[in-house]
Order: sequence, then structure tokens, then C-alpha cells
Amino acid sequence: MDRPEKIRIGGIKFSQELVHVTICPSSSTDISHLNHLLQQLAEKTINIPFLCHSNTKHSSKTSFCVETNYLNEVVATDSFTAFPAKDVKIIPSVGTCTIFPHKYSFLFVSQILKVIETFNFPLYSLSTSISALALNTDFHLLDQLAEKLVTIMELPENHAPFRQEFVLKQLQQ
Amino acid sequence: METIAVYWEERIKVYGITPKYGLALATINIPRSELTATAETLAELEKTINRFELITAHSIDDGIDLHLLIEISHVDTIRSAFLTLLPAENKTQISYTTPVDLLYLHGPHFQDRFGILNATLSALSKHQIELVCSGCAGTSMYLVLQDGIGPQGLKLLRDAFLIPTSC
Repeated sequence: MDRPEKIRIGGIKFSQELVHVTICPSSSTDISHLNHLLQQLAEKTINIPFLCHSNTKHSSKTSFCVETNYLNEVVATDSFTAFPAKDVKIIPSVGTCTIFPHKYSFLFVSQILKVIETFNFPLYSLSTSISALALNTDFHLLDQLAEKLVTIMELPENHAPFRQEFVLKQLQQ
Repeated sequence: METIAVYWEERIKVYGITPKYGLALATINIPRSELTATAETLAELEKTINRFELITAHSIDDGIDLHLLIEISHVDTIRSAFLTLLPAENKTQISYTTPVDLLYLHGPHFQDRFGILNATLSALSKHQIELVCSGCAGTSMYLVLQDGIGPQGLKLLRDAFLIPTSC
């Protein structure tokens, strides 16, 4: 059977504007600071809608996103200030583009990476979930990214990228 | 207009926690200039590998580190594909951590609620369990642990979270 020209997907979703934080702990002490940071963010009721982490023999790196209005609280936590400045990178005004479903397809991932490279979109981090692929790029580029994705992906008729129109916020009891 | 949702639970409910043990984690260091060629090599894997378990990526100076979690039986296929399909001068580098264990869980509104990550990682870190790799997006959390640690991690997460069962 011939491969379809476009990959059929169910939809594209955009996050609200976020801040992307990357920490590269250079010691085991720093890794415990990372766990402490997550605990402190939970105590401040700061949601982390995206995180990816790797700790291989070569390096350790954690990237996560928070809403832009929480950035000052994040950087003010004592666990965050414990990281050397050289080990931290903050990218303001980032958006998560979620494309679904991936169906565990290498071709799906490949096509997205090729769009990223061909049109020179920044790719700050990426992770698959149980059904989707979420990637973080500049917030102001989300619409352009969707325009390029639909050149290689087929969306349902009359679909437009979902934008979160309301914010779910868990209140602390 | 503001909608306020009030949601509180003593133990975070999840739909389920799924273990998969004895997998392989491929770490692919891809210079930006090689991203298209490497992506095309990944596309070729579709012909012989029917699924990946997890893919995550971080940006690095002038490129990305991509982590690919697959069945151990696919390692030789991937190794062969990268050797044969990428030109000799290609600077993409691939290394493997194998075997590793995977736990994945998903639950309602994970991406909208604080404390989910903290509950997960603190349950593991209290017992000195570190993650090899992790991808948390949408309503899912994928946790890659060192070989043999999966069963202990599973027990700890089952204690930390509540999986509702039908009466």
C-alpha cells in the first residue's frame, strides 16, 4: 500500500504563554536541589505542565515550563538560587505545541523534526505522552508552526489549533 | 468571567501505572545541520519497528539530544540504520543505555494541577531512586529507571497514588 502523502492527525493544541527553564545540574548535590525545587514549586501551587529530564553518563539536564507570571517566584526560591548561573537557562515567552495522536509512529516524529529544521523553528524541548507529542518553541511562532505542520499533516475538516480559553487552577485547601 | 474549579484529594488519583521492564534507551546527539538527515533515518525505522515507547529531546548548543526508548530487540535495527543510512561524515552520535525499566502513569488534568511531579519524584527520591530519563506532558508521566529498579518504583508509586477500582 502506498504511504499517504500527509499524515492524518486529530488535532493541534497550543498552550498559553509559558517560561521555559533548563537546569543542568553538575553534581549530585544539584540533583537534590532539583527535587527540592519541585517541592517548593508545589508548595507555592505552581503548576508544571511540561517537564523532561535526562541523566545519562554524559550529562544531566532538566527542562520544565511554568506560566510566565510565576517566573519571579520560581527564581526566588532558595533551591533555584542554589544553582550556579552557568547551569541555568531561562527562555521567556515559550509555547507548547501539542500534536495528536502520534500512534507511536517514527514517521510522525520524523516529519515534525523536518518541519522544525526546514523552517528554522527553535526547538527547546520535546516529549511524547501516551498519545501526543508536545514540543516547546517561541510563543509568537506557534501559528506559523501550525501553518507549516499542515503542509505535511492532514487535520480534520474545519479544525483550527485549540487554544486554552480558560485556565484550570487547583486551589490549595 | 472567571470560572473557579475546586478540586482536592488526599491521594492523587491516576488511571493506572504501567510497568515495562528491560527496554533500551538510545541517546542521539544531533547537530542542527544534521537534523533532517537524522529525521529521515528515524522515518526509515517505521518499516521495521512498529512503535517507540517514549521520545524526549532537549536543545543543546547547535543541536538537540534526542532520547528514544524502545524494546531491546530493536537496538540492532537502529544501530544498523544509523550506520548504513547516514553518510560517513555525518556528525550525529548515538549511544545506548540498556537495559532500563519504564513506569508510565496518567491521570486527570495532570497538566493543569500543581504537585503531581513533586508527588511522583519525592516518592522515588526518598528511596534514592533517580530517573535516567523522563517525559511529562499532557496527562502522562513517563519515568525511565535503572535496570531492576522498576518493581521497587512501581510499588512506591502505587503507594503514593490511588488507582480507583470498580466496586
